Amino acid sequence: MTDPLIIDDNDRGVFKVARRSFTSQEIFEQERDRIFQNCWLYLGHESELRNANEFVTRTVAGQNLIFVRGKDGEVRAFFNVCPHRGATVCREKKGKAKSFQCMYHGWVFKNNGEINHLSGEPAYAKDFKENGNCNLRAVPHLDSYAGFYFVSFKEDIEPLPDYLAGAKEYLDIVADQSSAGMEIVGGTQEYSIRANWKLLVENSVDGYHAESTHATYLDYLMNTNGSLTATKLAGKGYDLGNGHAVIEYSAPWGRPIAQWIPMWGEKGKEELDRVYAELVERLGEDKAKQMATLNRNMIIFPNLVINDIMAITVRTFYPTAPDEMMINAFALGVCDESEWRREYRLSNFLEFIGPGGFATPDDVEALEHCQRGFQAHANVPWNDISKGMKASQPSFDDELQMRAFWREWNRRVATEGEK
Amino acid sequence: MKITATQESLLRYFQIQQLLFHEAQLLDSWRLNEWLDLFTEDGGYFVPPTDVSAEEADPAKHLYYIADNRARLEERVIRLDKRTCHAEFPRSKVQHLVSNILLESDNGTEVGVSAGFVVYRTKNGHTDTFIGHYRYLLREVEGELKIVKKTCNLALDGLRPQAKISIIL
Repeated sequence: MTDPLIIDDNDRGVFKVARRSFTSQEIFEQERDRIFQNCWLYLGHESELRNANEFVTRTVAGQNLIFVRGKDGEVRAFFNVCPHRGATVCREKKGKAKSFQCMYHGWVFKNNGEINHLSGEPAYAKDFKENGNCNLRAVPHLDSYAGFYFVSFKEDIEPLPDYLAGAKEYLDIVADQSSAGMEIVGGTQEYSIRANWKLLVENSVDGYHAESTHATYLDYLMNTNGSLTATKLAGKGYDLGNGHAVIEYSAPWGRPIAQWIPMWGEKGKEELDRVYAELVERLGEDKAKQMATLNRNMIIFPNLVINDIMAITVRTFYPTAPDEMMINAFALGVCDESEWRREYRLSNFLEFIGPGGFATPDDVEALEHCQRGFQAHANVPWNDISKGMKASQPSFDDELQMRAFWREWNRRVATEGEK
Repeated sequence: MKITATQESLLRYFQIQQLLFHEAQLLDSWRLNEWLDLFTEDGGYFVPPTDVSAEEADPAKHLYYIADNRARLEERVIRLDKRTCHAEFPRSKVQHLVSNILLESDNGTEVGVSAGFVVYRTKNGHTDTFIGHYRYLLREVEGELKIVKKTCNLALDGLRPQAKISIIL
């Protein structure tokens, strides 16, 4: 029997993860086959394809895809791979196109994936184009929930709503923040970290590290006149099923949905009061209060993070090696918000989040140093994720949300002998 | 562009070159408060995203990497001098190379400048390279050229493998 990858001992209140889970090439390959090939994975947001013929190219779990709204208005996703010899068909990041031409031998595809022009066609057999033989290959499944599009590379997979389980309710909280809808703000933060991808899963929903890792950010909020309310950091962690989890908590910083801070002035207060009144009218007092005043850090298994905190970030990432991951991070805003509110939303985002913020660089430093530490896994083999394990309702700064992820990860990755 | 080299423009060019080289030296030697003094009271520092063109990018409309007004720039400097700024503790080794300096406009008080940069950052056994071009708006304040706006347009496809911009470019 192989050594276990996790120890989940509820009686003793101990939960441990083997550090080789972060370093092993074999486990990395198992994750590729058993997780990234078998789960619903985030592709993009509906607002990125508002009009017919708009497209975005994206890499999802290492595979290049075209995400496109066809001439007929239908949203589709194709492997961005020529069926002929495998060259990347569309080499632009985004744009408008009725067709895509492969540069290598000139095959042209309509934006619904069908072959439109087969160069040198007379030299091919008469039925060569039949049965979709020359079409762009569509991903096996594409579906959306609350404006978020997901793909599955697995044919036989449960429907997206079933897969999302309890995360649906929290996706709604993000999607319903305006009756006008939500949109991805232009500009992507594209970066990589020299660390295992699961470290970023943990870090994205880690309420425990803020005080120490982000001491300078908290100093900054304290130094800056009018950037804080009297609200305390407090809240809970929830297991949403299927490996998804969220922490939901109050916090002192401003939230551009409707938690006002003095820095935003009287005019800002009037506007956020209006926003809040609209939320109450549309969703009721309880929902409005939850939406406006509580922060949420959510992981949707395996690699989507939606953090609705001082701004909303949508972050997805995938490993390229046991010790390297690629990250794409987007800002999500309200479609009809004023210029003032959009500006503060972006400003709030940059203060904390992202490669140039006052917080993310310190997370990167922590993650990269964990990865270094894991080199000693033969001698110091276990990570501890036990915090709050005996609590009846774990706090936002406990580790229930990470345990939810790890249990699902272990269920999918470990073979019978390792469980 | 018509190239002119009046005595006045040569002096201006020398003044700009000295400012940019001096700035690079302050950043390389972590004299960040002195660096901050190079900015006007309304000065700002910007790093736009790499998937929006430099002409189109606007910090009020696009997600930047960095968009600091003077107040946040001061806070950035305070942060970078702390032990709890973990990304830069212990501090990395930094080397700025500034080149291709071009005086683009000069109305006597405000001066537009572009320049190329390569910034090396070494820490934890890794050397990361940041490549791109600067755009400066400078203003003459009491006979001294000050930075009103410094924009660093990265000539990169994102921050891979740099991960972060924890130093000042």
